[in-house]
Amino acid sequence: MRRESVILCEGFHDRAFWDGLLRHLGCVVPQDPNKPASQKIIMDPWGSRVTGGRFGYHSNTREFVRLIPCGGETFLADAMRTRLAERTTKTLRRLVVTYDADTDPRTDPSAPQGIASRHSAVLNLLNQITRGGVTTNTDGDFLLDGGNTVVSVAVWWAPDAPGPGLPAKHTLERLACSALAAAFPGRAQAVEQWLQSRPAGPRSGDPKEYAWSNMAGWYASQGCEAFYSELWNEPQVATELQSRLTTIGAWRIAQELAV
Amino acid sequence: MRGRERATPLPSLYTSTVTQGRREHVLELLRDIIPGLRSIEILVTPRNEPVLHLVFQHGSVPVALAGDGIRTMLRLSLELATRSQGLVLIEEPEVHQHPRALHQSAKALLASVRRGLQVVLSTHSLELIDALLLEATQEDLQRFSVYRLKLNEGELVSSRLSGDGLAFARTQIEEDLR
Repeated sequence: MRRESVILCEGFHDRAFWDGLLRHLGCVVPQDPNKPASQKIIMDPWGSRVTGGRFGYHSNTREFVRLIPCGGETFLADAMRTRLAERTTKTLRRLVVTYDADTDPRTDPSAPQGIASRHSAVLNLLNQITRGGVTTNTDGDFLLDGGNTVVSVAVWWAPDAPGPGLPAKHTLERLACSALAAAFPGRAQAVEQWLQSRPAGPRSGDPKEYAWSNMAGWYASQGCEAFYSELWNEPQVATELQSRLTTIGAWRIAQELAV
Repeated sequence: MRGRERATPLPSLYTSTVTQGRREHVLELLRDIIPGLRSIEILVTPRNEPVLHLVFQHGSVPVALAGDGIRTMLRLSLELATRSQGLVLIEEPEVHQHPRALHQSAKALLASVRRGLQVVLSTHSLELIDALLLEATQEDLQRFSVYRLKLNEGELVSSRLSGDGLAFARTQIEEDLR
């Protein structure tokens, strides 16, 4: 049967993080062994080439998984609508939508506000699309079409208390920096010192300042995007990431995709 | 549009196009893909048969001797130009056409829709869909619907995207709609 799972994420950094996570869980990029590595042509179950900044994988049981960066959070809802509209002719096993919680860990430590607002937005959209035909399973996934399509919401946040080297916003950046800080406490101190000691100049206060400081300090050779996928190749960091993803519920979702 | 074996002869189609005042429109579409084209004219053979010619500065070429892509594009533009209202069914207009010519086909299709014609076309070409999106105005998009059809164990099922949904799917996330 031709079918796929789809991960919708905001942009290229989320895509890189998912790429590392899926590979860590045993997913592979389908590659013809008779073709040179430079000829990377990935075909989907319907015989179309995977293009447009998307990535494609085979799970451990050879289910197809498509990873789609949507160009920003504002486009996630339309991307959901589009893929769900097609599910009658392109069977959709699971749809995972990825958001940042985007709340302040000092006032929303375990991000319930951010998580609730993301789940609520997705549920409202699903109810519009299915005219109220959505149910929920015990894991909090949304079930469509009698359970034939499962929709999961993965919200990035980190349960770590505010500390050196951690941005003050629940985002993918904070999740990565928290894992790095736990694995290498000295680096987090160094990042904080460097950020605090910057000469006067424009400062965005963006969580990316912290993530890119880590990237520049210890992972510069492969560039910005690879930073997020390469984190999964470092055992101490992968362990810390897994621990946090388990807490926030995203590890289960990723595991189910990778089966 | 009718099948090839019952197709209206090109000279007749061209005559209708001219009498309905759409000659310049068709010429404009063709000039973009046929360098040096001056005009299209009906010439008469020694046996008094009318033949449609592509006319250039130093001579003319019967349309019958042009490539398949040019002939497909010419017939599509003429068939559409001779109709102002009603329903037109078109099967895979992309056949034989160069991607650049698809943009001219898209212009011809949109012009006919703006005149009030309803067009239902089947296609396997993302390039044609993208050409339609590139040429379409926001108002045109409101007239678009795309249906993906699939034969599922003998049952024909479909999924639908609106014009706005189509524009998002192709331009923002590059969804392969086939």
